[in-house]
Amino acid sequence: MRKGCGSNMECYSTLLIVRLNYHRSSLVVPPWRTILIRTVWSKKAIEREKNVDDETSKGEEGAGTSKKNRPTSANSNAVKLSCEKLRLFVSEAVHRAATIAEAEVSDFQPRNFNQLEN
Amino acid sequence: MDPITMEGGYNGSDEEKEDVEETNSHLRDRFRLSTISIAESEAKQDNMEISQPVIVCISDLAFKYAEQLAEDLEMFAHHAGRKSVNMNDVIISAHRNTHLADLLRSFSYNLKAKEPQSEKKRKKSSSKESKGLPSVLNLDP
Repeated sequence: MRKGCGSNMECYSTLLIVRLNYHRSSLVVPPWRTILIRTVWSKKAIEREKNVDDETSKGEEGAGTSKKNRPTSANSNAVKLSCEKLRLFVSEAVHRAATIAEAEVSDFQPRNFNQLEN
Repeated sequence: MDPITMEGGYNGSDEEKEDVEETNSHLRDRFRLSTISIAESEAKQDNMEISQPVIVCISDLAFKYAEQLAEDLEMFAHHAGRKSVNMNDVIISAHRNTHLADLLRSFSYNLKAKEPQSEKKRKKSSSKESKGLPSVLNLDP
């Protein structure tokens, strides 16, 4: 079980490199964030599998658990949409900082950004 | 035998941890690069410059935001009894910010519109049209 998870992680990292190479020249938001999201899901899946492993070592009732612990996948459009959401997050942060900076000074300062949290 | 197996086990877990850390750091670096490009392009529109610490702050925030988003999306999909995340899950994740939700909804409509129709759908639509035509024709007389 754990060997499979390790290979999954390797797979994600290779996917990352492939996608980066593919989208290096494009101006669109890089979809390698897919891999970031997937790594989070794979992390969760690993945790779940580890929990299941512990349970099976105690009770040995783990038949057919591999399907349950399959990491979550995403629709391609859903990934694009989440990338758009992240892009909007960053642009909104910059614009808010810019409005505060315009009100105070002409250059961005870290304290301007700190005000965003309030 | 036991010490060797124990050592092997520890090495394996250490290697896994190192791999995870490597991928994490790699992702964080790449995330930072893309954040820099987005932030600089946005700042150019306002004719301003962004200092490095601000970009680092924004990228770290966005990285955490992405992790939270991933967890939320997974939870939404699991709640709906699915193993794959839909566009609706992403829109629902922004339900507290109506403006953002509207933006995402319009973006999703654009994505759907750009999608090329699959052959199955074409066949279905063509069959529907062929079925629908005679009824219309029958009504006319």
